[in-house]
Amino acid sequence: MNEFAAAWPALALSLKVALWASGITLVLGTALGYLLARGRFPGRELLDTLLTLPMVLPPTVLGYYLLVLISRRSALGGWLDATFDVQLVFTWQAAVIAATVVTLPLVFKPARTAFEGVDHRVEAAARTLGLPDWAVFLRVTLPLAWPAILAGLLLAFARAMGEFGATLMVAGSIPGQTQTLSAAIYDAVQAGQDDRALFLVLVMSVVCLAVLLAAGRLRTSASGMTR
Amino acid sequence: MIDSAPRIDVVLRTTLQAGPRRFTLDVSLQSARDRLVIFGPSGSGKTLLLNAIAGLVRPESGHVRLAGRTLFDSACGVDLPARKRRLGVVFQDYALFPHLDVRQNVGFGLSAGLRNPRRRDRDPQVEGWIARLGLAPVAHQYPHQLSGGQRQRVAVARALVADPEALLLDEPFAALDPALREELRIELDILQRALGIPLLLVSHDVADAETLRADTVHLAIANGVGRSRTEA
Repeated sequence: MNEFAAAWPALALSLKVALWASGITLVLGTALGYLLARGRFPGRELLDTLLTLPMVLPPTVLGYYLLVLISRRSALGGWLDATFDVQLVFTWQAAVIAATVVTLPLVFKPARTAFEGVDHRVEAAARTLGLPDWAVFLRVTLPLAWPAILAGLLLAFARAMGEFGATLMVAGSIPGQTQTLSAAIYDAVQAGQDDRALFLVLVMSVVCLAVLLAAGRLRTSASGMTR
Repeated sequence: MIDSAPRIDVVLRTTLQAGPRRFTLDVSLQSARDRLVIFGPSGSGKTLLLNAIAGLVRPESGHVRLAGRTLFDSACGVDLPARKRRLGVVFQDYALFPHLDVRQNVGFGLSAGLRNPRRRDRDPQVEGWIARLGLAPVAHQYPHQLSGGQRQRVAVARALVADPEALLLDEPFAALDPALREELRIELDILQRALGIPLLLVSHDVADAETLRADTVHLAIANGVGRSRTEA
């Protein structure tokens, strides 16, 4: 239990970061998936590619870009500092930004595919039955795409729990403040605390396994219902 | 109802452009009766015509008047959105909501709010249509669990539950076996007589018009233009 008490701040922070990042990813990823599936605008495929890039780029490269974007010397970071007195670098919020960018493709990609797969005539039927566009989206389009979005969201949560490289670069590894579980594991190994490292590794593995099992169950139950 | 104007009065012109291919639909249909069957080979624009009447695609010019109501008129800028046309539409292959059971499908149009009817809701209008079309034994089932004839009945019930002012059907019998077709034509005949609303049916089967004793219009294509020929 002592081990657990020592691990708790890092685990709690990982959960907090993963929950925030998943929430933002859910809203942003669903909106982007819809936009990319239904929008007709130049640069659509380029936008898709750019947003997918964080999945394949080395985490250090992504972390570097994010640092450049949010540091006080940048336009955005400078504006935040001057207007709201907000400094993002080395805060847990920076870890949320990193995790969001990394997990976004896990939601917007399946969301786009799912929205593209929704039968237009089913939506047309809803309109002839008197529904305004917003209600058609909430009552027909979104429920039909939802199983794919939800499965992606659970993967995103698991991925956010494990986010390490980019997070380390923008948020650091300050124990009790910005040290996530994965960063704590790295520090424990570096410091030769093998027992602590092993315990943290097991905690992380159990959490991610549970999330993946839930995602698998959702996928099978969803595919049984909609088709 | 005593009314000198035709109950069904549709004059439309619209063009579809898909790459180098162009298709123009140029039709004029009138019927003093409440039943009109539109025939035509595939590709003659039947579904396009029905979609234009339903307000799902916007024609370039013309007008749509059903039972004395103007739904579209390019001359005076009238173009009601699909949701305000109050038309019951039975789509080809029915386009049922796959995530909702039969009861929820039928009750869908009763509210235009942001939430679907719930599985345990019991609305007297919905239950009435379910009983009338013999859907009670499958009321809790999902569309993929139904037979073709049951799906067709769900689509008809869903279209009629919100009290539409006209009923449009796109090849409603095409997916059914011949014996069932005749049975459902007779059901539709009885329903239309009971409701007294205009019925427009798109078909490639002359038996549809015979059983329904409807006026007929033929669509023919020539040089990428689909035109109507009305026959007495």
